Amino acid sequence: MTRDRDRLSFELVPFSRWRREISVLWHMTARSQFIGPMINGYGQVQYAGRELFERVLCFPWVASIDGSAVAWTSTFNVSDTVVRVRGIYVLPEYRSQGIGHRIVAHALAQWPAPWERALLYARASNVARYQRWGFERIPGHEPRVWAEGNAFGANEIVLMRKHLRAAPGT
Amino acid sequence: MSSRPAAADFIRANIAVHGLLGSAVRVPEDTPWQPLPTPTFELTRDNHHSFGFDGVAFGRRRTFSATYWVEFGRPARPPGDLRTELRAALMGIRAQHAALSIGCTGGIVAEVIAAEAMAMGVPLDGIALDLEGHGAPHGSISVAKTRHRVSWEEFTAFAMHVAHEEGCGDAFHALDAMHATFGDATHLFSRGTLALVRHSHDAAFASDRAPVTWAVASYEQATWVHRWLLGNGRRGIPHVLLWTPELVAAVVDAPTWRRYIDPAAPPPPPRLAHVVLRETYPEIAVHPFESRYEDGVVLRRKLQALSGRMRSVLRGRRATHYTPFDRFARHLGVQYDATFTDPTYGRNEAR
Repeated sequence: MTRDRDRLSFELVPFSRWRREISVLWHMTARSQFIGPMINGYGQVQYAGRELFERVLCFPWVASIDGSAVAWTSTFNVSDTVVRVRGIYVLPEYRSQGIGHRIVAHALAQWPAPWERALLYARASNVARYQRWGFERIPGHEPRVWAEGNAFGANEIVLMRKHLRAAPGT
Repeated sequence: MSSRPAAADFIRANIAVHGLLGSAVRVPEDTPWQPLPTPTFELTRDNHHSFGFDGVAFGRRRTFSATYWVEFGRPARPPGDLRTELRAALMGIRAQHAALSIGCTGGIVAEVIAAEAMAMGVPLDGIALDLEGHGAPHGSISVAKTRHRVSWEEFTAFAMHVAHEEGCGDAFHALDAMHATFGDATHLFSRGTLALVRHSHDAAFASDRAPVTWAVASYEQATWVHRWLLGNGRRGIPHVLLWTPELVAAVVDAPTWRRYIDPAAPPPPPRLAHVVLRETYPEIAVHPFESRYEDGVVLRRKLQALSGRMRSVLRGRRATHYTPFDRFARHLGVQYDATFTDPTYGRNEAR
């Protein structure tokens, strides 16, 4: 029997659709219009001013099975060498099949060689999951408070990284 | 020559569709907010300090997801010290405007501007608001004052209006701005300037949670005065301390500011530029807000409560634009020995 994840297809969608669909799933109904294409928590973004519009690329992805959307994620570059994963959501009935891992891997694979590393902020409860996906906690970065976290039952977040490709010569 | 593909190539190939203003990313306008007229006077010299939402400079937020941005000009010459640059700024403003006014709020910015204006012979009309039940603030400003009595209801109506129309979410800012409604002179506003943020610091843990880095924070809230001035055809200087790039550089180069750019220092206070002024002008006494007014403690509480009401009708967002401090200092030509970049976030190609 074919597993769901083997029938996945990935689609780059307009940001307006992505924010509308994922906001409901993030329990932020009626606030979708507040979701921006990038965020700059703790000053990760290394661009400033109008450079933001000349350098930042935002790729909102949807994974579908037989035409039905089942998972969402997005990526944007915080510098010319580092990408941020922002938002990962898999419908409950499709979880624990590797679909989240697949859509994130697909989204990150689109970034060419100058981008060498991906970051994500993980809720503390998700750290082990992302470690299985190849992310690691970053030395020197300790868990910190996520202001909105209490609404989601977890108010600590951890910055994690993943190397996107082997270093040259290795 | 490296065979490594440049980030610029990938960005160039994708920016029209996937950039923040790209066809797949930019959200159609979801509000009927009107554009602002083009500035007919300089908010800062040559409008070197600009802000905007998405690609539009000196505009109003048109969608909630629009990206707020800020830019600063580059100094045209090596800056002098803060006193020198502030005097030069006041002379420059005076050269462009026939009459100037300032709110007698008793705050450090107003007190310093008034003192320097007096010293240089720059005419300045002091406007004092006698707020019902709390009187006019005690301050040492000795410029010619006109006094206007304002009821709490009148002030509240003004505050709620600027919250709804221009995105002001702070009653203290609104109180400062209301001074400008009395008189026709170009008003010098005294709230909202440069803010230094220590990104690595987590207040909840009361410690740094990452390698120490700083950024200059520019708040969308602080530009409501710009929108209010432009939208109403009113002349004013929203932030005197931003008047020239040289003055901005002088603030960032001041000993007080430098003291906080140190991993061993405590996190900077929210209004570091005001602390810079206080330490640059130790001869000017400034009283705490609560002791400037009759029942000042009560007034503070009322203003805090009003701020909450203002935020509930706020037009716009409380977005913040961060400029990494190392880039900001380099841009201004201010030399710092330390490095402020966390390599975790990567690097940009030389441009």
